[in-house]
Order: sequence, then structure tokens, then C-alpha cells
Amino acid sequence: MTKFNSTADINAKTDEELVRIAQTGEVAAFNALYERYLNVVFRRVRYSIPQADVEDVTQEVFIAVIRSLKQFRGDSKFRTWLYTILSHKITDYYRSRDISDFQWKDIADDEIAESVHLAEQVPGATSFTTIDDVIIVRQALLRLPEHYREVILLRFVDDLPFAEIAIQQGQSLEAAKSLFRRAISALQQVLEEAHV
Amino acid sequence: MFDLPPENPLLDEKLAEFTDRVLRKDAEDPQPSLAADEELHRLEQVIVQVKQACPPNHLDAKYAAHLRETLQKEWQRSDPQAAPKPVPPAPAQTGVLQKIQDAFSRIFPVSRGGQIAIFEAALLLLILVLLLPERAPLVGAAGANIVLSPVEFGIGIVCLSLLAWLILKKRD
Repeated sequence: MTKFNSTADINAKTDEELVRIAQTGEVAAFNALYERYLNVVFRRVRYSIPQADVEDVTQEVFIAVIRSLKQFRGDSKFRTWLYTILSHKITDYYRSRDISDFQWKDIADDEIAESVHLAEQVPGATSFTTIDDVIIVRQALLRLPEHYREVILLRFVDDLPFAEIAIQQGQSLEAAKSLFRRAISALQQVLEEAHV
Repeated sequence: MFDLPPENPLLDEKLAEFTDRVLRKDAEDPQPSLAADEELHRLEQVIVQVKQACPPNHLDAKYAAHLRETLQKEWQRSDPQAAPKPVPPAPAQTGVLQKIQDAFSRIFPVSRGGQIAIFEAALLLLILVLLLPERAPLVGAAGANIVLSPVEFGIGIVCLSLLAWLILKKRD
């Protein structure tokens, strides 16, 4: 017997409420979480690893969520917990690979090309318009410390406004913006080294 | 490691504001300002680079549906409460074993548990009889040189089974 009478019931629940219901075996609650976070997980994964493996890793993330859902005690937000799982899966992916030698170039997908194409269409765009440059940015991000990379991905990939980033990180809005600037500054230094 | 920029809340604010404008979907892509502040100008260029390195999100609907199906199966596997698995019907027994069981049921119309107990005991004894050397003396039996034939053993099994059945019936 489902605990939800309508879609509105589900939408009204917070993530943490849905987790608690899912922990009782209610699959509809898990499905709602899946619908909420599929795009987020997919975007993160495809920004972090080569296209060929994006679907497999996305699936692994959700399977890991199912398997450890019972262990979620609500000490943190579900989103934070999910990101931890996501981060572990991406780390696992690279564990057996040397990131510095990783050949993003060989597997640059059509969507990167599309991104570059869009950039080329912007009048007066910067000279940053080649696939190589896109690859360099992605590799540079992977070389950043975790907290810097995280704040950049939260803003650019997850599309969270700074106010939400601050809540998620347990910081004030000013501290979140300051962290963001330091992260961008660090990224700039990595990019400069890459271009030397 | 990295050279940490000095604290500058105003610069933090300006960079955040520029990022918001770059990421606003309905607006044209703003260009790095020709700001007097050189640091801000360089950081704004990085913002534009990162934006351009973000591919558009094209989640394939077919993939989403397939993944959902896979996850439903995983859910059922990992949470037996969520989807009670139907008990699979016992495979139909055929052949000699089934015939023996049927005949046994007719001879001993006791409960299923009792039948199984009797059948198992009888089967065990039968195996012992078949494995026994044909002319082995029964050590300890009265008149140690008496040798039982398999037929005599069979009769013994039937008697023992009958005894077991009577005990079970009395208990019920």
C-alpha cells in the first residue's frame, strides 16, 4: 500500500522525509528522490569523467544509494550525503587511472564539440574556443583541492545560487562567495601552468 | 600550492555577480569587464572559460527510463519487504521417486510431516540394506550365524515404518 495519494503529496515532501519513507520499503519515495536527483547526478558525472562511462557511473551512484539508504540517519542533508556517494564513485573511477595521463582528447564527445561551437558563435568571445581548451579546463578542475572544485561545480554544474551553496556548505553567504573567488583564483593558476 | 588572494569582500561580491550574469540563461553572454582591477578581469576570464567548458545537459529519455527499470530491480533485490517475492511452486517430481511417495501416501495416510519422516527412515534403511554385504553375519543378534536376506530386511523396514506410523498417529 503506497503512502502517497498523489504526485502533489510526493512533491510536498522534503528529501529527508522521502528518505525516511523509502527506508520503510516504499519504492515510490525512492522513485521521487530519483526523479529529483537524476539530472544533478548525471550532470556531475558527465562533467567529471569521460562520456563513454557516464551512464555506467550514474547507475552505480544510484545503486549505491539504494544499498546504503538504510544507513542514512539524517545527520546531514540527503543532498550532501548523495554528493559524498557521488564523489566516492568518481574517486573509485579514477583510482586505477592516472589522471595526468588521462586522454580526454581521445574521447571528447559531441556535446563538448557543441559547447565549443556555441562559444565560437558568441561575438567577441575569448580565444578560448577549442576542444583542447575545454579539456584543459576539465583537467584543471580535477587538479584542484576538493573544497575548491566542489564550490565551482555547485555553481556551474548544479546551477545552485550562492545563497543555496552557502546553506549546503554550512557557511555564511559572504564566506561562500569568498571561497568561490579563492577557488577561481586557484583554477586560474592551474590553467596558467597548463598553458606554459 | 596556491597563492591565496588577500581578503577582499568587494571583489568576492563583484565576481559572484559576474558569475550570476554569465550563468543567467535568458541573458546574452557577458564579456569580462574592462575593469580597472586587473585581478577581477583575469578571474572573469576564467569564469567565461568554465562556463564554456560546461556542456549542455542532454539526458537521454531512453537512458533515464532504462536506468529507472534497472533501479527498480535493484530495489526489489535489496529490500525484500518492498516486493515480497512469490514462493515459487515446488518443481513437479516425476519418475520413480514420485511413484514411491504416492504409493507410500496411500499405504500410510498420515500427515505430510509424518509421511516424510517415515519415508526418510524407510529410505535410509533401504540404502543400508543394499549396501550390506550379502552374507554378513549380524553381530550381536541371537544365533550369530543367522543371515538375513534382502527380502527379510524389506519386511523389517515395513514393520519399522508401521511402528513409526503408529507412534506418530498416537502423538497426533
